[in-house]
Amino acid sequence: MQNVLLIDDDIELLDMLSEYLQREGFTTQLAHSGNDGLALLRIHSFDIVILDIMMPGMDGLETLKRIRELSLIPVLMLTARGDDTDRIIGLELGADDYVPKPCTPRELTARVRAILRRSQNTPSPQENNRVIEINELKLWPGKRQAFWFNSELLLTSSEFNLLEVLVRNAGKLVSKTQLSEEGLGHPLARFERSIDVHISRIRNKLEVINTSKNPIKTVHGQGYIFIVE
Amino acid sequence: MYKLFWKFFFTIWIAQLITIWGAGTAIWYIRHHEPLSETNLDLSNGASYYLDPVLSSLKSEGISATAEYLKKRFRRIVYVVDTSTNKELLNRKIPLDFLDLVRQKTQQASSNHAIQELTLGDRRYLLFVVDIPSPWGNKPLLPVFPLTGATLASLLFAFLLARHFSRPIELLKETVEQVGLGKFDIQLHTQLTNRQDSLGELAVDIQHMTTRLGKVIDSQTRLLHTISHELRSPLTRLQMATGLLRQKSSENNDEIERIERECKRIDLLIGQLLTLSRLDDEISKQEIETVNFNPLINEIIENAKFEAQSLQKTVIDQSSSDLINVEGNPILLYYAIENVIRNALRHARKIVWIGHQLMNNAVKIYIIDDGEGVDDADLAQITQPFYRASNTQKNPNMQGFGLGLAITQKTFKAHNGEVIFSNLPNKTGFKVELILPLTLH
Repeated sequence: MQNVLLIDDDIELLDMLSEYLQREGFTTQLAHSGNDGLALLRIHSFDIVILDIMMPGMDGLETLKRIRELSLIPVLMLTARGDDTDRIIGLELGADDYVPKPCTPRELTARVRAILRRSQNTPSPQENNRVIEINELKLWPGKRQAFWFNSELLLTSSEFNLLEVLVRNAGKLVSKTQLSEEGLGHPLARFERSIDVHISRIRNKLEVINTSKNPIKTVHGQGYIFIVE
Repeated sequence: MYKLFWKFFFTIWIAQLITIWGAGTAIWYIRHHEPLSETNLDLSNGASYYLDPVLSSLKSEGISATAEYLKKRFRRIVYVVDTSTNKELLNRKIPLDFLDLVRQKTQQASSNHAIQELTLGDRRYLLFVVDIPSPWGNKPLLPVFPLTGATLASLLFAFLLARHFSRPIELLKETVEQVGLGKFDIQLHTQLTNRQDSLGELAVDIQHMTTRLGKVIDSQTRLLHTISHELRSPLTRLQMATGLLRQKSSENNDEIERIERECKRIDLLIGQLLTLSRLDDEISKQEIETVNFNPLINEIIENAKFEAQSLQKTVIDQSSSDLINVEGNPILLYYAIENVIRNALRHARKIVWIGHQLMNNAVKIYIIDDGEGVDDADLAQITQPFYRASNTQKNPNMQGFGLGLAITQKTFKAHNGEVIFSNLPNKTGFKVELILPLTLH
């Protein structure tokens, strides 16, 4: 059973969401502040964190930053609809995806499943050892591991998914629509920027290991290409 | 710009000119119509110099020709008086005592011929010279120098006075124009604040008023923003509860669906209110980018076509293929244009025409529907938030909050653009023109 950590200061909301998720087959633990959430995260193991960005005290963005210092666990943000700044900052800090509030629990659950589907499938041993190798990049989709110039790339779940989509289509232009549907598990929303933010984070991580070569190229207004040399 | 200045200037100047010339004329007139007195009788040696030609003219040319000659003279006037009737040749008035004086002086003047007598037939004429000095002394009749001086002086004072009045008003006008554009933290020019008169006080009053106005509007916008924001928490909880309810009840439940639908509507309303309150502030620089206009409008039109199908209406695309880039916020522009098209689709009988064309430094987007149009009385108000035209209220299918066009107008205003609404004649349709400058500044 998949274990979800819910962090939100709205106690009533969290109780209802928790009940909903449990009925959908998840186990949940609740935290009503960023600090409580971080404490739980240190003790227990979770599959995903649902994190409200608008919290008093230590806000969601600060909490997210500290979570990322601890682990690469998938994080789904709850953001205020229309507040693009928080959303973009959250994605830049390494959140996997976001759901604007108000939202229905159905939408929320669908997003959670979309993130978990990729990170949680338990593949067969053969699949586990299958490797995709292009240029200096080695990618194990089953183990969800990636190496670039023999150094391990530490990617969040969404980043790994997007890189995988690009690598599987290496040398071809991949549209943002395709990246969103195959990488994030939901259709591209109008004026959506999250793909760009995720890709930019992947590029940065690639550049930290090797500054001279960046295989991911932007095709303005259309999408991205993983260049094969 | 300087219209007011010139109005002041000419009014003051003409008033001064009228005064100067009027006073001059009056003085001249009075001087010339004072009763003749002894001082006016010219007994000098030179008098005969004036008299002689008149005398010879009387003798040779006759009375009428001489009268003509006399008319042309205006100073050192030769008077010709018929002694039997005491009438002057040109019927100029001569006081009787002045004539007596002339007769007394005849003897004295005989030596230098300053007064002469002439007999023509049975009539005896007395000729003498009357000297009417000009009011300005022994100068020419038209006082060119004083008049020019006065005119120039009046020019200077008219200029100074006109500027004194018009300059603060111009400054005030510029300031108030800023307020009209929504800038409430106005700074008064020192030329205004330094004035101790009513205009200075007016300026300070306007500043106070504007500051207050700005505060009121500001707090209203903030209130709107806060309310919308605060409504979201209960709405999220409501949606959660509804979700749970749906999860627990196995059968399809119309009421739950209804609640979910209404939640979506509230969510939409809150979103629109937040957009509206945000549009009251200027769009920040980070939100502005170069927008490739063609894919934007094409996407809107494609969506409109799709929506039109379900309404069994037609969208006719007349947009030009010129490549256009505009400066602005693509998200705001997208929804601003979409709002108008949604409206058009809702009100159209069958067809909506959408097109755009490049004008000078701007792109004009037009959206025309073949619906009934809007009552003329409603035209000016349709961009008011929550305003719904009277023919919309009658029709329950035309749901909306009345915020769409308000958002559209504010968006275009924020982009220095313009929105023009007009009815086609005879209730055959409604036309919206959206004008968007290519560059923001």
